[in-house]
Amino acid sequence: MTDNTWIPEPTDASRPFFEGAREGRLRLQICGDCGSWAYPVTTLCQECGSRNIGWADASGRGVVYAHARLARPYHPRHTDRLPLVLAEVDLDEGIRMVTNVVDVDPAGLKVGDAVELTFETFADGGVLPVFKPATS
Amino acid sequence: MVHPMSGKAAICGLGMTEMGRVYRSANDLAAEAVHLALADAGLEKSQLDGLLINAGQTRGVNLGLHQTLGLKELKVLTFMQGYGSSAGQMVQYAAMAVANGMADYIACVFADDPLQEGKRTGDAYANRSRPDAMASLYPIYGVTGAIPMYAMGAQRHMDTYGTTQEQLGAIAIGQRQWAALNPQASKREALDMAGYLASPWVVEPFHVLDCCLVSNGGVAVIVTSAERATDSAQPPVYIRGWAQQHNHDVGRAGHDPLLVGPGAKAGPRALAMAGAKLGDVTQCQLYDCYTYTVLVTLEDYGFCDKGEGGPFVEDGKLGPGGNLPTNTGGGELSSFYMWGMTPITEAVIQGRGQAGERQAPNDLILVTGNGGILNYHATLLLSPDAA
Repeated sequence: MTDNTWIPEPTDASRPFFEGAREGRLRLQICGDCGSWAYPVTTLCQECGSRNIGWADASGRGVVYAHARLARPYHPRHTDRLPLVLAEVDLDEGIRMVTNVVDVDPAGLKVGDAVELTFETFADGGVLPVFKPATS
Repeated sequence: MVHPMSGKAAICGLGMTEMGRVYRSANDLAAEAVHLALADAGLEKSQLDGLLINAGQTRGVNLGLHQTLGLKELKVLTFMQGYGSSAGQMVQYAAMAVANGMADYIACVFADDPLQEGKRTGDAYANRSRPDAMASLYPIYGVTGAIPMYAMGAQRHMDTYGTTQEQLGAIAIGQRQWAALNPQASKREALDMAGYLASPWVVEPFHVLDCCLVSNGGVAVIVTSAERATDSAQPPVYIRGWAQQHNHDVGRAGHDPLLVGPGAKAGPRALAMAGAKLGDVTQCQLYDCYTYTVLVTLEDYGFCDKGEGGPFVEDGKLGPGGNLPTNTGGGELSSFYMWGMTPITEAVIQGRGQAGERQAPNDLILVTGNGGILNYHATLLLSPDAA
């Protein structure tokens, strides 16, 4: 399997997220009526039920809600990255995102640690949003 | 005050197929389980007038089971899905139906066939498809199946409360000690802390031995009214209380779903229905997809304060000879993994007083079923006594 199969082909519904990643941005859905954010993609606001859903840039800042360390590869990307730090990150926008924390001592990360957005770029140009310990 | 439905229905039949690497279809296993349950209850197939069906990982059994079984007329029939809470839910809906005269005998059946000949156990639950491209990133991130999410829950508990690896290990060891007393358990060889700690990591802090087995098999229980149950071939196991709770954080911060599960709300409602208090519970049959699930469930129900689960379990009180016998057949960790039916089967055996050398006090048995990532939950309170 080559790198170019790693990032899934976006659907029309999720294209802004993937295009945003290539531009170095974390684009997520936001309700035009009540301002709630959503992740992953939705067709209606999970808070107010509105279908007035748009896209906006998230801050890319958050804290670790939970984390663990993958010990076995389940995907070709994992092979050279074990132990891979799995995490759920609570974004400042109130969204909880499944992601990885990179550039960190796997044994040193703790719940509540501040993290910020970064990107992993694959050989074929595919871009995956991930997080690293906050620098500021 | 005891709810008027408390004790008005009972489990009168139990059917369990061979479990483990049994290479038969889920549909076939389900059909056998129903026949075994009928024989156990001393019933003719013609007396069965209700069927509730739940499929596992492979979705290998469906509504057509009634055709396989040749059940020509039924008063109750449906297929249900609430993942690990399904089995408890089926017993609840069956209890309501028989207590209200909708049917006489309702079989609740689960079967699954995730293990395939020549394929590794670990592959059975991997690589489930995701509905959209964004969610398809989860496996690339390494969050595939339930193990990573529960492992993150365990690590959050460790970071927040100081829970240790050895405390999780105490749960696995206690259940293995019970399994050694259960001829139907798959994993009966002795396990000590060194053996637990030497077990390979899957997703740290989970060793292989923190994770449930994967099993092929089928289980059926037959639920009938309290009146009919007294005529059964087996001692009735009365359904004294129940509740459900289903939580979802819909990807939002501000909830703590990995530290507080739905049992925290289901438990008090089930106890209130039975007119019981937590201290009346004499044994627990808890859904144990992972060691951590047992720990968080004990806290949620209030056996100890939130965060105290580690010290609570480390003295071995859940194992043989302990004062809170828990998962006395070995549970999903050491006996077999039939989703929510694993705790129910052991509760029925215990409730009948047929558990042999692993028999524990059975006055009031707490049974939990848990699905998703601590999302879906069903509680049963079972007893040999109707009131």
